[in-house]
Amino acid sequence: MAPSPILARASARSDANTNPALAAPVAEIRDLQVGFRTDEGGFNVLDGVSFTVRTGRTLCLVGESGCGKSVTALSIMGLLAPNAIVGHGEILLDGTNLLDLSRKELNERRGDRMAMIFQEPMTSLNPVLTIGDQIVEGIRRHRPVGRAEAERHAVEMLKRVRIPAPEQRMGDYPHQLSGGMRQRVMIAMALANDPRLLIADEPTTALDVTIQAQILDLIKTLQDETGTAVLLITHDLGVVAEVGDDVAVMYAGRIVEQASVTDLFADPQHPYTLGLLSSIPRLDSEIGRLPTIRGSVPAPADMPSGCRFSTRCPFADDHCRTEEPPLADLSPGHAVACWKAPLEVRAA
Amino acid sequence: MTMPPENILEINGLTKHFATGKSLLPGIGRSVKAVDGVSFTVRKGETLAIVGESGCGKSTLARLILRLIDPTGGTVRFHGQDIASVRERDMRPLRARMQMIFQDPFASLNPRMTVGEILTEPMRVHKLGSRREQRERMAELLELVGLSARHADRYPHEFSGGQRQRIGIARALAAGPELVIGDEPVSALDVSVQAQVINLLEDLKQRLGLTLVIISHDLAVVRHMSDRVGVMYLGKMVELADTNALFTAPRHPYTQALMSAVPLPDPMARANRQLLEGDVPSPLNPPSGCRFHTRCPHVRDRCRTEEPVMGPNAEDHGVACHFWREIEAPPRPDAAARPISAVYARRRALYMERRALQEEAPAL
Repeated sequence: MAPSPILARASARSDANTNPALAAPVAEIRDLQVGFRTDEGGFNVLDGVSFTVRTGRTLCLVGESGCGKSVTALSIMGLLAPNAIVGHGEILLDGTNLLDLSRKELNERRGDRMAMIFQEPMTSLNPVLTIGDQIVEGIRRHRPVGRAEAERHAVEMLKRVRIPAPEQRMGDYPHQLSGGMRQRVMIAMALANDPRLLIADEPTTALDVTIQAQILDLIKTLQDETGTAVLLITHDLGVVAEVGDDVAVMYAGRIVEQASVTDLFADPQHPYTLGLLSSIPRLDSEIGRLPTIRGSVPAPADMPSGCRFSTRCPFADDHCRTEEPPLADLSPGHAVACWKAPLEVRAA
Repeated sequence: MTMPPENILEINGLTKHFATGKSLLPGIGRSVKAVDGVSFTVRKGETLAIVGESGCGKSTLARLILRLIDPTGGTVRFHGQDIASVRERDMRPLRARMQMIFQDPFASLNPRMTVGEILTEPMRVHKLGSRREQRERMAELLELVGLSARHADRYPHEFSGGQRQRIGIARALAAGPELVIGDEPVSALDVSVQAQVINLLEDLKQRLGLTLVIISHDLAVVRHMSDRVGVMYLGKMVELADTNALFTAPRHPYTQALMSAVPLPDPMARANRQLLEGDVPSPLNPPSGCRFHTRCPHVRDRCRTEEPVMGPNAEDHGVACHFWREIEAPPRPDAAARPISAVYARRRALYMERRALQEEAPAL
């Protein structure tokens, strides 16, 4: 499908998926620390998070509730709550540090060069505006085009996200659409200005599995067409295996392992990654009693010193409990934050 | 010699229509056919799972079985007794024998009651034992679900999601039920905690000789936990079979599509999925004939007009599809399954070995 003429930046299909070295960095997060001030004092929910999202590639941030994956997304979009404090770090979008920008400059980029889709489309769409009006608003906010042209582009976007009879749907209100259709509308809005970076925060978690398959397939197809860099946030390792190119595993505000998706599943290094992978029931085989991870994630206010996983880790020793392991490359492109990695050498 | 399995529940033609909107003429208002003529049995001591997507009627079915809502038609027999015809007053002793675990451990525990009060309430309601016996049983229940008696004076908000679900399970067990119905009992939990709760439910089932009915949308959890599985679509049961048969040789096109849609945690298993088109139709106005015909890749004329019945042997491996014998089955998840890599297998073994030692050591 030909991109409509008002897409200023030509969207050539990138070679990124076939050759990662060719993929240019779009977003670089460097040593990001974010804390929250509360009545009980302050604590860091992100503690030195670094990763890079590249053109045409999908980086998955995976972790359980409270690990900081959504806070990471909101930090990039500049949508953190007022009581959040960015301690240090950089968020580079095409080389510009977003943390240095004024509110106005950030607003120019949001919905234009970077866009986000959320878990629950019903709460992110305006219930009293038609979906046509909402997409048109997003286009005209960032493009000097008239209403008629913006409407043509909006219809084009609805077509691209495979919404049947898009001209008629333009006049629908969000409540008239199913959950899957609403998420398609969100994707159409997010991609309307051809962003360099798309952040998808649990985009299919609220959807049924047959609809999830449709939406994941749609995101992948559109990424192939536009070369958008995608940061996909999920708790589901199945989704990671299905759509990810690269993956970062987060635990308690830190990245504990980072690798290509192929490497992470074939060569998982961090004990937390191992525990997570082993504890999912499998659709494709019988595995007997499920391995588990001991206990639960410590509350942000009582994070252990040293490695944050040490309170639950079956390999932890005194060193782990006192000194924080750095995220270091074990092999090119595969980094692990564990004193005991590789386990068969250092913990056997 | 094995005895034929004893049925704890026999469900026959169970139907629930909810009236929606208003009509000027009584009896002509529209209704949602949430559950529409569902029949199956639950055998004593088994785990039966009911699986399906939102709106298929699986939660309504759970509520009908416990008679938390009254059916529009059909029967639910518990040990042979039709509970729909039991007077409300006589339902109470039956309810002690059939209990429910809910999805959301945040919403299903009264925030103003201590854990001790939450757990003794079912015993008070059902007049089981003296106060002292109730306190003792409450402490036992806490130990049973992996908590401790010292938690009795705390309130639900002081616990994590996984611990709260353990409290919900303990409450369901308080009155000593034979049958426990879990409505998405692990769906709200994180993966690592989910595995703990799945193991706990399996242990308790063994120890207490329970019969479990698990309502779930998660096919992997269902495969792991259940002996038999029923698949629902738009208020109808479309397939019912032993878990192994269902997952290795699904017969209904909807079951096949559902399995094909689940992303597997293995990047090498990425396949060209058989994607279902469109959304589930509204249960207000379900399609004629086979309800799945609007999305079925194998649809033929007969499917649009004639509703298929469960066959060939509803007790063994039943399927409600006119053409199941002729449909070419797509590659099954099992066929695509590959062994995990040698290095992952070695590390996982190491992890489980250390994990077992950790379990023996006292908790920090």
